[in-house]
Amino acid sequence: MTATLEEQTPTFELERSRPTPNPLNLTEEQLIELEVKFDAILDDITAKRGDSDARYINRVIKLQRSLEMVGRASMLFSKHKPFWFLGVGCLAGGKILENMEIGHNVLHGQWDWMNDMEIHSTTWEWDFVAPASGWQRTHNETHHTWTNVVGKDRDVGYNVLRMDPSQPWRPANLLNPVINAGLAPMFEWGIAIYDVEFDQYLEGTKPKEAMLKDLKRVLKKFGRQSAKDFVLSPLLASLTGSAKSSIKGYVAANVIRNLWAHAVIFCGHFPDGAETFTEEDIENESRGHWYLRQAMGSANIDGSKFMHFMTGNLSFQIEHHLFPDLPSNRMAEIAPRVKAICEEYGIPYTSGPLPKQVFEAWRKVFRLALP
Amino acid sequence: MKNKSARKLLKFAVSQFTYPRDPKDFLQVFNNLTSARYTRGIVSHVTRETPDTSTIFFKAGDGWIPHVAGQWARIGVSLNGKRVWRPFSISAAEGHDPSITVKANGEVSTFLVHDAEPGTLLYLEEPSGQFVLEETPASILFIVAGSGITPVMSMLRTLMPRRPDHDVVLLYSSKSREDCIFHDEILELADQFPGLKPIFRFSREDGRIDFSDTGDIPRLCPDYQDREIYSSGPDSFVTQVQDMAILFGGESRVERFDLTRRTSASGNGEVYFAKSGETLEVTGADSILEAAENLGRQLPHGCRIGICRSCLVPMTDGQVSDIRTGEVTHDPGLVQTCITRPAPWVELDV
Repeated sequence: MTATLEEQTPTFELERSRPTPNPLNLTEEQLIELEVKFDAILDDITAKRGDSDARYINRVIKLQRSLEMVGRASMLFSKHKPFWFLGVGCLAGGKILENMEIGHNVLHGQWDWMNDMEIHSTTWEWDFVAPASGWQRTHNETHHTWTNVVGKDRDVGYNVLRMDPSQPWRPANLLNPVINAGLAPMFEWGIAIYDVEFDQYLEGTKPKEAMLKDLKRVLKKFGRQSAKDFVLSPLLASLTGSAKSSIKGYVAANVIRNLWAHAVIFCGHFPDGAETFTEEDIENESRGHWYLRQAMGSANIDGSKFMHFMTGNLSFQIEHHLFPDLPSNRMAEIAPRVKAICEEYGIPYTSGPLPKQVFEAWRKVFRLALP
Repeated sequence: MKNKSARKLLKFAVSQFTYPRDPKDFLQVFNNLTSARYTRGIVSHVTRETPDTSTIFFKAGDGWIPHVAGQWARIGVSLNGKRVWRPFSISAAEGHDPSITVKANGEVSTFLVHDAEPGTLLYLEEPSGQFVLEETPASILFIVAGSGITPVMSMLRTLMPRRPDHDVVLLYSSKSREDCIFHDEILELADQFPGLKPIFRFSREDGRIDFSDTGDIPRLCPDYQDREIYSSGPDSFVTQVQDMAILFGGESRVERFDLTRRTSASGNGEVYFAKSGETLEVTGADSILEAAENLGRQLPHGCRIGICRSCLVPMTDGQVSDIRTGEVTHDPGLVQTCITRPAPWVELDV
């Protein structure tokens, strides 16, 4: 027993540079137990979800649409400061809710069980430049399946940032902080371009036609989104002499949404403690092991109920990654259960307040700019 | 015409501001009847007809097509948050606000009878069905049982005021006086319109109707062979009416309310869904549709008793048996999932 322990306890440095397939040395039996315990949470919530959950999402949607209408109406009179602030607040809040608590989660299929085509992953389109279908491919299929597997999960740096020490350093990575600072306020455009998978076309793994089709779709949506917020709405506001102030207002609301979404999403997998994996790590991966990887590769944000709501409950990133299609309103309820299981098996449960997590993600951006 | 294109133009203009959502998604905040994807309905009031039967009156939103007497519509409700659809016969007269009369015998119908209240949201598909009155009906004999009265009630309410002298015999079988839906209203109609002759039959006291040529029908309605026969009720009931009509060379129009399963057509089987790669176990006497629904999977469906053919899906391999007849089909083609089960294995391209 002692011999095995010594053998399998690597030095800290070794572990950071090359995570072992099973850093916690959980036995096969323990992995099976883990699978059973996490599956039990999944089954429990699946059996419980019902009327109250349906009422919840319908109420959130109603709130979001009300905010958006008040925001757009206020913008028509935005030459008056109070209307400008009211408008920007409502629009930014509305867009954040639309993209995160509603859009992200609906597109994950978290509400498909309601069998309601008004709130369904196959019919939803969001107020975000990236078209839903392309995002579902890169996010749901690639990122959620290959979470934090360097070389497979393209969300590790989104092809433009070096976010893991095992990614080879290139001189361009010196620009890491600059790129990230530019990405933050333009986050939706960044994601839209990323979803075209231009790099995969260059590598030859994505056919030209598929790439062009995606590109065309992005450009079309980009056109309509921009026309709505930056041309037509200001044009309408010009009737009250509010054209200029409303352009500023729409830009402000979009930028606020982008900064917030960028901050929250970077807290999901980049703070200290969120592990990455190699392709060898996931060979013949069992479901228990998959759960383990999801828990170890994600990081939560601590905060108030309101903060969780505004992040679309992505502040429960660990729970979301373990159960990507359970409704978001149930994440707070299952978090203590997930934490207890993690503690029982010594699985690190990474969590921290928003400023700390944002700081750590940014520190990584700076640190990995250098070889 | 001008009005229509103006509306279209307005919608186009507004949708530039609501993109990527439909303008109706925003109107829905103010009006629950509005929907970009469904025709919605809102329950206006509910009347209890018998201890387990209610009539649900509703206001229908945009997209509803007025029904023809005798038709049914597929109606969706939210059952514990989940949308479930079932077909229901419309009992209201043509040209009136729609209503359905529902007897509690499944999840959806039980919800409608006991839990629907003013304000409950309904989801509606357009009325359909071939069980409708002839353009110029001659004398008619309605033979109905139980909740089979629903579409016939719509016909009576439509027909009688239109031609009060109409010669209509209604032979209506129910378990008891207490279970007899619309009993008093039918008597009132008969009072008002002497052409309507209702004959109530309570099977607990009087036994079941004897359809033989020396049985109840010739006795209760001697000129039955000269009448148009409409029959509505359980499958076993209307089949007897059909057989009787065939015997004297007449015709009958029927509406079935359930499905008679052959006990021989049961046992375990498997369905492989080629598109999702899932395998589904079918046990007991369940149809493929029911087995899929029990596991929370959605398949297209309409009447659920093998009539409307909305549930057709392509069979690519294996074979199915018909749960009514036991007949086995193995030729690749479209199969009705609501009345078939795997025999014992089938691959469906869904």
